[in-house]
Amino acid sequence: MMKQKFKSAKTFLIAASLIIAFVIPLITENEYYLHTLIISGIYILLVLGLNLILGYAGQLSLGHAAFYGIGAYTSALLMMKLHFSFWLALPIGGIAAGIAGLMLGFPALRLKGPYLVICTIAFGEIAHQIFMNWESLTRGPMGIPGVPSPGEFSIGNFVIDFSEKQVYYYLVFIIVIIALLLNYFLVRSKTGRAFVAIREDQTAAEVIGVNLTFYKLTAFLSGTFLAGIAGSLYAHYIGFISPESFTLGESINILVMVIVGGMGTIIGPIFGAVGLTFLLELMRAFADYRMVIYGLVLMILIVVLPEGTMGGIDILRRNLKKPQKI
Amino acid sequence: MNTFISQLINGVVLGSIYALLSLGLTMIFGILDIVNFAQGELYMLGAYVGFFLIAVLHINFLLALVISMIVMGVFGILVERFSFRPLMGKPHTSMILGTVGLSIFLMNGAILIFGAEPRRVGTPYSDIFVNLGPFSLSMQRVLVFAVTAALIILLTLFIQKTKMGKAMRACAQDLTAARIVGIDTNRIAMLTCFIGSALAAAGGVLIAPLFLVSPVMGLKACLKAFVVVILGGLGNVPGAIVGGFIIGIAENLTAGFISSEVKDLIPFSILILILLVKPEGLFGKYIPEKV
Amino acid sequence: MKRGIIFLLSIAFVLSLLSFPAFAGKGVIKIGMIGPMSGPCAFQGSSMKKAAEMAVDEINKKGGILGKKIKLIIEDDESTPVKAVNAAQKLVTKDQVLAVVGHYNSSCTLASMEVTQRNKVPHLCPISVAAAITGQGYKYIFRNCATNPMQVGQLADYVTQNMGKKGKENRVAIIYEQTDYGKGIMEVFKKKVSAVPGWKVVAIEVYKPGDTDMIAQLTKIKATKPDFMLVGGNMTEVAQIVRQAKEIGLKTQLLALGGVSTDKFVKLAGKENIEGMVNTSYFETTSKNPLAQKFVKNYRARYHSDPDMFAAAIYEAFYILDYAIKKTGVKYKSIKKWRKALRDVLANIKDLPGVQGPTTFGPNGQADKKVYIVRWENGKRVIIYPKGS
Repeated sequence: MMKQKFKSAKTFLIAASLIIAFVIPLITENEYYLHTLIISGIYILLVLGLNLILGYAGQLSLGHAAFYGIGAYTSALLMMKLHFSFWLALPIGGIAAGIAGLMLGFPALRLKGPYLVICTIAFGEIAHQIFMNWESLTRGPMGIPGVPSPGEFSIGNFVIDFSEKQVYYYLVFIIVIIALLLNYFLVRSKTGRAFVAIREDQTAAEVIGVNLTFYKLTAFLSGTFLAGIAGSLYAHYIGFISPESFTLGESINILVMVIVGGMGTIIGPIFGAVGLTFLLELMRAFADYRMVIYGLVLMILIVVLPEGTMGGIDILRRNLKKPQKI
Repeated sequence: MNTFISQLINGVVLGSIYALLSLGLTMIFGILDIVNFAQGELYMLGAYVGFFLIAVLHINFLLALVISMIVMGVFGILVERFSFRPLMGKPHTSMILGTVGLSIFLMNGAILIFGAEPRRVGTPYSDIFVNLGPFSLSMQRVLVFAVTAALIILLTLFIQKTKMGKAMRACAQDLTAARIVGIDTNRIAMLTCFIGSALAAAGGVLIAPLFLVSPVMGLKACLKAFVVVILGGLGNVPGAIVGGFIIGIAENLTAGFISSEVKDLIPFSILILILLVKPEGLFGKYIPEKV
Repeated sequence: MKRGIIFLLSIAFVLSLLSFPAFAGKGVIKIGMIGPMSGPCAFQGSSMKKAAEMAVDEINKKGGILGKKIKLIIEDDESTPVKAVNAAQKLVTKDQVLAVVGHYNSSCTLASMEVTQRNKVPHLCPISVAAAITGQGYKYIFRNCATNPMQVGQLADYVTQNMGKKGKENRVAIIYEQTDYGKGIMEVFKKKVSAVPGWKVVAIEVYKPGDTDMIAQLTKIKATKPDFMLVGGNMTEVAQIVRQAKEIGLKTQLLALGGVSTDKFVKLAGKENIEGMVNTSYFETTSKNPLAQKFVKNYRARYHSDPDMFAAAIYEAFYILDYAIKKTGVKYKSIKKWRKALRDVLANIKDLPGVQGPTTFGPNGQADKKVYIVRWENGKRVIIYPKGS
């Protein structure tokens, strides 16, 4: 009886949040608020992606910002140099990031623990160096200003101008909903179950016939594709991109959102992304202290609440404790 | 040829610093099984202590070096107690995130306390020049290498010849077994962190007069240290030393002959190569996964 | 216990979502300034801050503008374009400022311009020198200082006309910062110098802002035996380069741009190391302009130190805004309309007197300003061109 009540409460909450989220731009003109929501939405995509790689497939990747950047640069450059339409540039940005994700996936197949993490960090650093040094393409540290917005369309008398925050919000909103749905179905499918098997005990999974290579690569591909889409959305919203946005620090940022929000669930990433984005904006006033507190919170949270605030599955507490070597 | 030798010399100087930084990292992993992402911050704080002693209190450079090492060594013990011990036994993800949190905390704390502006540390050694044939080198650079060499020799003697050193080696091999034969593993853990932190601090103080001291100096150095440690083998002391010099030299030769822009690309590419081909590093041993 | 924590966090989460600030008070005029309050250019940022605070205090003491006090909101861009963009977003959307002043670094101005121009906020640029800032046809950007091509061109002209050795090849090396600022310097200087017979560019090296190790680049430059070395960058890195050049025994005539024309630079680089160095300067305390002298006197009284060119530029910018906002009048219902009116006034400013000379904004928002050429002698700057200033 309790379980029944809980389930319908959950459905109600989901429906209510959806409606509120849909209605917000229509009832407020507060540009700052909309701006922060748009950024949160972009982070939801990033966190969803990393959640697939880490929360479901158990591969700790600290190079996620690289794919964010690849999506951003690819999309921006396609629109600016080759005059592609935004609607083509966006998915291609995602695909480019996905392919790069496969490139990371291959060496990652054989690595575990700290070796895997360090490999992902190195990958992220290499990507960052490329953004910084391939000046003729990316303008290096100067960044690319003037990234165009998706444009203006008229339907009859109705003009949709994507450089308006309200309009861009809906763009991000729709893409986030699509991503959430895809995520949901992926997780419920055979692939999702394979992910969990790999995460819980890789060797055992292999023994029962799970094709590690295929599923690990799938995780990387999907996760990085989402990051690429996020990158494209970011680039065309802010109008300026530079290597500074795609550093190890940013990868850590996204990782913290995954951890704090809760790994291995769908609502976790939403909570982590939106919550932390708003929290960080609010703490702007204490900007000097912000990062110090951030570090402290991270240290404490890891010890006290390792599966995150909304973590559905006890992935860290159980089972992965170091075996005694006697 | 001249350029080659100049860059080689610079590479040796840089390599010394990498070696010092990486030694601590590799020892902490070898004995505590913890990957310390905050190692760069220990280096950075060591540099600040040095800055304070030299630029403000006008203490002699070498004396300041020793004091900084001791101060940071003690700090290392505190870090072990409050940051590492709660993480032990936890899965790698938690451990990595815990030390990352520590790194963020220390780096931004430094920005708050010292200010983000880079500081200059002047020593008389920067103005004395040593001539090796057609090459002239400031005394400070020679000191970097000399002090590093001395510290490495001291460390090696300590590990090989003393009882404590033997205990450390036992812990590195198998922590539980060491505990069974009666070694106080907590004490060894503290000692390891003392040494690791002191060495990092030495690196910071030595490099301070050459570059500038700023709260963010630890970040980049730490990443390079990771490359060195993987190259040399996680937990492998001679590997960290050799690896440090290899990376330092490779970086400078690249800067000299290809371009300074891509010089940072080299260490990371080497890293990926190693991970693909021989993940246990040049000197490491392959440990098969137990089912 | 865990449920409890989650519950509390959810409440905090919801509260944080709702507690977003709405519109601001009506009795003040908000002006935002963005600069490097931390990072490698923090010193220049603090100069900017001092000058801005002094200007705003002076104006407010005289009753403000049109009876309203100015509220100065300062943001830190850490010399990073991305942070510049974030700061601009905040000022423009959250604080609803009337105008933005900034930045120090050209790359930051170029980045945040995207925000100010898209949101139609008047943006005054008093320090950044990259040509592209006023070269893109944006309508809300105004610059009251000389551009890179202007100052570098003047330096190149002076050097090639007055400092060369006749009858022998004059060899020039350039080491520059990998930013819009540095790149612009390198390109203009290279072009101008290469066009003069008897002059040749023999080495070009690059470094990144924040770099502290330029030994490899300097070693390469030394091998080409240059007579002149132009350092195109900001104070902290230029000081490092000057010291490291000495360390490796590179002897050459040093040249630099406006960014090093401060007293702090002497401390960082070392008096003996910069003896004879020649660079451009946008402002000198010895200037005979009466407004400048008054400014210097007041600045000294308030801060017990001399103002540098960054302080002078910011001070001038704020007084330009003071004049322009006064001219727009008071009655504006929406900040959008007021910004537009302000923009129109700024565009039509002609010969407005200021501490750096008169200001007239051209059609692209660029003002025509000339720079000094100075030489360092015994730790002090001596104006060598134009003579008698």
